[in-house]
Amino acid sequence: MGYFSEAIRRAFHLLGTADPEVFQIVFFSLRVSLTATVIACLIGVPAGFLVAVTEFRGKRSMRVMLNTLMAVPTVVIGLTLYAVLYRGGLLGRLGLLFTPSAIMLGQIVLASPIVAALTVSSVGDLELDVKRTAMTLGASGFQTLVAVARESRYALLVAFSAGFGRVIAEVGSAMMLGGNIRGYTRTMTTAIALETGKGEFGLGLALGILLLLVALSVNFLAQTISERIGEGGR
Amino acid sequence: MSAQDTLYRLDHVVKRYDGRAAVSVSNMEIHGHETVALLGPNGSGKTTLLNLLAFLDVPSGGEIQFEGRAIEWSEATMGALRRRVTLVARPPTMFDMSVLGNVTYGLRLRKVPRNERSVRAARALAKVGLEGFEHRRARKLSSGESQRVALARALVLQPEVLLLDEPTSAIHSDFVPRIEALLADLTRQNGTTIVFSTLDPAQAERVADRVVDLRDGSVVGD
Amino acid sequence: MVRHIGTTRFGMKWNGPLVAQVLLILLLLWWQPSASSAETVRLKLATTTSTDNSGLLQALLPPFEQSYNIKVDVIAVGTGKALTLGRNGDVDVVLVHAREAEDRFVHGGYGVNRRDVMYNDFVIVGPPNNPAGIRGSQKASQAFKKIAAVQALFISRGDDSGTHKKELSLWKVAEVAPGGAWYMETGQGMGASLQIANEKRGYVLADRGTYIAYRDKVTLEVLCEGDPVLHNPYGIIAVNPVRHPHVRYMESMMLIAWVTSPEGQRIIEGFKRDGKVLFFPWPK
Repeated sequence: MGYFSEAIRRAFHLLGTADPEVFQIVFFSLRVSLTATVIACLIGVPAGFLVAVTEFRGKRSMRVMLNTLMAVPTVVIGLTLYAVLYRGGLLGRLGLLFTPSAIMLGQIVLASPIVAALTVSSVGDLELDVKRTAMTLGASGFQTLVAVARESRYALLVAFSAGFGRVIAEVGSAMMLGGNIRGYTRTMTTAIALETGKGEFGLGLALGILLLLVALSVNFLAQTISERIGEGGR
Repeated sequence: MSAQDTLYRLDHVVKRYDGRAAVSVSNMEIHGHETVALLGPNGSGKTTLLNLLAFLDVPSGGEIQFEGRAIEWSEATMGALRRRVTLVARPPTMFDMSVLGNVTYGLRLRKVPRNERSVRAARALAKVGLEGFEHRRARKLSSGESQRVALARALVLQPEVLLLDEPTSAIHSDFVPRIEALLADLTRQNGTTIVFSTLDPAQAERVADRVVDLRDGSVVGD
Repeated sequence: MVRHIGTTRFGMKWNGPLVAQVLLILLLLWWQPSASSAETVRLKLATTTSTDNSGLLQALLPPFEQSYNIKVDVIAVGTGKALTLGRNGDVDVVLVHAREAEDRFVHGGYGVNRRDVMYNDFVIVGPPNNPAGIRGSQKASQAFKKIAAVQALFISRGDDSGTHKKELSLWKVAEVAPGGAWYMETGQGMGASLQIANEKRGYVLADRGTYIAYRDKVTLEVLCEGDPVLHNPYGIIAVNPVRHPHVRYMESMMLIAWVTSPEGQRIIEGFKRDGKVLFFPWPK
């Protein structure tokens, strides 16, 4: 119980004094994870939609693949990308290792399968009917996409939240690809790992509480936006 | 376009699903300004045929000519044609928004200004007997009401060709004559070409200039 | 009633709160995590977790960063990984404490310009009840022999670190091949290993600096110290620019010059934690 009370006390203290280092870490994590999730949605949603509506050989294997990718340990993704990004790797020349961009890349790879898989499972007959209705009323390809996206906004919200949840909470990939560099690539999760490694459990838990608050705020905002989008129509 | 101009010409058109031919038309013509009824029981291929005429589906075989030109089944061509031909499906899909949002959807796509949209929508809703329904949530309507909203949604676009899949199937018998009169008006006043499907031979005779019988996907007599 | 500003193409009602939310999202999206600014050079230093955790670098680096306008990015990993990063050219300079491995690093052509920076020592710590009776042992290898003789619980780093290599060399001198239920390899850093040793009441070889940092968290006591073999020197090496032309060789040399300069050495000497000196400057 000692760690928990210390954690709550420290969490309030960090928030109250607006500890600059902690706030830098929070905003950094938020920026990277939000951007990565949005990009993952831009990749995953159309991909998922395509898999759902097209009939092709190996469609079943594709769905199994997507579901499996969701369960890959983050440290494995980190390791794989590390092998690509380090100086001796395929993209070594870009010097991306230990930069914020490397972390974002890892998170895009982590979140995309989730978004795609959830999109595939949420596209049903209703979405196809919406598509055809939009088309017969004169919608272009893009306009049809928008119409379908708007109709399935709650499913998209779930996909976004799931993708965001996976990346804001992961440490394996961020640690390997970012290097936990103070003030540069330190995320909330790598900071928690560091403090825990130093035996500062109270501080680690306090950061964990902050992480939860951040995730809560993002999901609340996303829910509100998706509801507002639904009010369209004049 | 004179009344006798051929709008659609179907030549050995086939649409197959999983190897089975849902519809097979060796020879069919639809002329401008006419009202054609597709009469046949369930499973006779009426919906499939309407989807082909609406350029929503691509035939598995054969050729369709529109305005004398063979259709090349590219997205660009089909997209352009779909702006002139509108299908009211059964059951109709309502967008998850207000009735007004649904009815003005096509107008918004065509960049019609807001004031004009509201006016045209109100007029269309009045024609189908749904005055004042603008702010109701479309998904919460009865099947008869949503069928009428779908009709208004199509009417408001004043399409050259209006396709309807069993347009009065869910509508209360009291309203049916009104809808049928509406369709007749369309052709008379706007010159709209109408193709509708029905299970009811009496309705076909009443409303259409010409009846096409369908059975098991094939046209029986013209 | 919300004031309507206008209607978008797709029929979404624009209103104050929605605009604010969309702007916020756009702001967060476009506020990209930026790469390093063009003016300040970023120098990548790989070091061990124990060095980083001691806090020394937070005292030693800022004056250097300010004077030379170089930002030092510290990547703290195990010794093995730090040297691998150097070998692959993923960092510009390494600071570790594993003399044999360092020599191999330089002889292999991966690093140039190795300099001694500082030293501290290792200590053998253990539970207060000291089941193997090693308190006050003059020679560390003797202590290890005693631990093995009674099969007292021993916690090893097991991670190829400088500490681990030192531990293995001591087992060799003691002519013991450690293994079995009493020998536990954590594969983790010094702090984590100390905590595990604390929980399980086992012996562990630790660098004095980390032990001091953890003194209030563990009940382990120093039971053997002072043996010259427990001497723990730190070396700093620049990654070879011939092998990896992209590395910041100039800046690495500046850092090496700085930490070995009288000023750098003074900072090292003056660095205290809980009133205790953790590192000793290299004697000239």
